Amino acid sequence: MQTLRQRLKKNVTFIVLEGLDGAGTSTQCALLVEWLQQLGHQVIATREPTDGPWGQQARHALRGDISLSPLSLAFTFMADRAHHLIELRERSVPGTVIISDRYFFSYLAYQQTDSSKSPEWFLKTVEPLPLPDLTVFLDVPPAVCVARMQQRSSQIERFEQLTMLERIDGAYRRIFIVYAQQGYNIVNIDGQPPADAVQAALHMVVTDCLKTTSTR
Amino acid sequence: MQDEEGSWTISDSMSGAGGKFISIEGDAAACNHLVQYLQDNLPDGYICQLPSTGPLGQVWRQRLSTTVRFDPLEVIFGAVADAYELAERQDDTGIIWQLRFGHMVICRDYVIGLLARYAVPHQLEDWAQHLIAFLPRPALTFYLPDGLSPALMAQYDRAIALLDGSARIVTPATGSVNWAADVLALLAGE
Repeated sequence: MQTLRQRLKKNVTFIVLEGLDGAGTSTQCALLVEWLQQLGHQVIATREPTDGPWGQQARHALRGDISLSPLSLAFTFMADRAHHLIELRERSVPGTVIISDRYFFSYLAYQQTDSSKSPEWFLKTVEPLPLPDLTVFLDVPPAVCVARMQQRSSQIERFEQLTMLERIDGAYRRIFIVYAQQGYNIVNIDGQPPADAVQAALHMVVTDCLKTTSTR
Repeated sequence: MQDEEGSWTISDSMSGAGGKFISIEGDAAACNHLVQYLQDNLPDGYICQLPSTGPLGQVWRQRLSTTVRFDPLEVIFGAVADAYELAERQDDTGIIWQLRFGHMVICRDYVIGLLARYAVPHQLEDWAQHLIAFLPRPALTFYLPDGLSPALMAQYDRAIALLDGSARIVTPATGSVNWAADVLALLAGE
């Protein structure tokens, strides 16, 4: 199984930003892409679910247009991810940096709120997928995330959201401990300061990562 | 058992509540013949298939018809997503729903077909089995190998071996004239 966890392609750097809803992953991904392009890197920015055939069905389900059971939806996301990885492999050339706004860690974190199946069961479902060269967790307390989301939409129900985000936050941390213990490159960055300060911290860890991947 | 939202769950079918789950696997022509015969002669049976006629089955069929070569991960994830959708569907077209209400469910191409037809690589077999752990398992599988190419038959044999004796598999003698009637008689005794 380990052999399947190869990088997408030699000399391609795969970077993932993870965080709770409201943590700012989309904002930071956009800024990071801009910065890397200014440095002259070939960059592919991506997010999930994609606009591919499985991703479209996942979106329909999230909007309530179609009904999918939790496991069915989870595996639809995974099919989308697998399909997307093929596309990324085809589009990337040596030196490409892929920036993904979330990856399977968020799938694992959200699935672990389903207490009917063990965390280990879900961890094994992602076993063959390639791991990023760098995963950054934008660490923002759930209460701050809810406050940010409320600023964007008055529809957010505070208590319900907070309880859910606290559970997901705990799940994220447990997952990252598992992967960090296996030696994977996972970095926690404080996501509470202003966006440019968070971005500056991000530049440092991404620079370190690029040095490593460019010499392999 | 119902969950907090009143939905039927996988554990319903595992508990043996209600009906009987049968799958038909193997050669397409033989499967077509048997399914048609059962449709005509087993009015109380609910017949379904994978890829399903649901939203994920539609994607799956479209991918199968337009894509020459798949990544094995997409193959397995997509097929498993479709299988769970069909199993857990919350209306009378869902496998668990039908079993819950005591009906006989006959699924053409189920787990064995999923593992065999898409040629799950050796190093992914254990993982693929893990993904299907929560799917309802047929009480009986009719396996129709006559007509399969040697390569596909080998894949079916491997898929059956993967289930490691957990599936009760019957291979009808499809050479006889009334073999489908024999299958029906066997089902009547179930």
